[in-house]
Amino acid sequence: MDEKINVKEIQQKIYRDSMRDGVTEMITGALLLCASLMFVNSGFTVLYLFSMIYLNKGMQRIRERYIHPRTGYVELKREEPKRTVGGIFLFFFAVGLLMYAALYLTEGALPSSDALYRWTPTFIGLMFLGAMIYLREKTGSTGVLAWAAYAIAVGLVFSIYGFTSSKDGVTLYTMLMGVSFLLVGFYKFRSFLTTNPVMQETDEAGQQEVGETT
Amino acid sequence: MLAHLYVVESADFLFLMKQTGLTFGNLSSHMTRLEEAGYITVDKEFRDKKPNTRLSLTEAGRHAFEGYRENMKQLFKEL
Repeated sequence: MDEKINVKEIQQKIYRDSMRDGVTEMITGALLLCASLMFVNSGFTVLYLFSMIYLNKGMQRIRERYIHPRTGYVELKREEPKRTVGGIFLFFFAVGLLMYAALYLTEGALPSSDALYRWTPTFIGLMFLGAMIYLREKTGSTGVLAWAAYAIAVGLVFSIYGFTSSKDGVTLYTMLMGVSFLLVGFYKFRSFLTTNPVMQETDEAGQQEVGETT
Repeated sequence: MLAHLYVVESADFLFLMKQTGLTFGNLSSHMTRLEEAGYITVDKEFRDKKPNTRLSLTEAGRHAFEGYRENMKQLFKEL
């Protein structure tokens, strides 16, 4: 070990590699589609809550079945839940408050529920910005910010466009974002499976077996 | 190998092979030496009837690696 070790770079590469399989995008897409159903009918809220639990389990199953045999298994460092949740809520309230103040200033009165629904796509886009800045720090890849730019741009278009019902904008926005994430995730997942063959340990024999399976 | 284990909770043999680019034999010999030195723990099990070796850094390994990094920093400063 005669060279300088950059621990942060190693950590970022591990995070980056763990995001290459497209599973995170597919699950995010599925969650957004479930959220869009919630906007269509509040009765779907239960479905959304269940999807948050079961999609996470589904993600673990997919990784166990398809990803770990190709990349090996790694348990990433656990983050302090208080700090992470605190950071998310702080960002959520800060953006929400700023948008509320901006609406108040432009309309000269307290924003109506219609106005709030109308600007929800932009708000969600800004939430994506927060998430992607966090991912940028974790992975060291600026490419993830493209998602934030896309989410904000689409959010602004949907907020500015005059839908007959203000709820339509946010419903269509979450649907479009969900489909976008699902498609990109599925494409990455397919590419990942074709470019990464299944590997197998045969430690007692002191050899490594590599072969293609499903 | 220690640097990779330093930034994660644990990792299996295949993961370390992919990340470090070391061959099976090479990584295996590093693993044995580090285990003998008490720097890593090695858990062997079968997953879906396939052998799986899980490695994680011990406290002694963590201290040794941090000591090594400090020494290297000092060395680079002096150069």
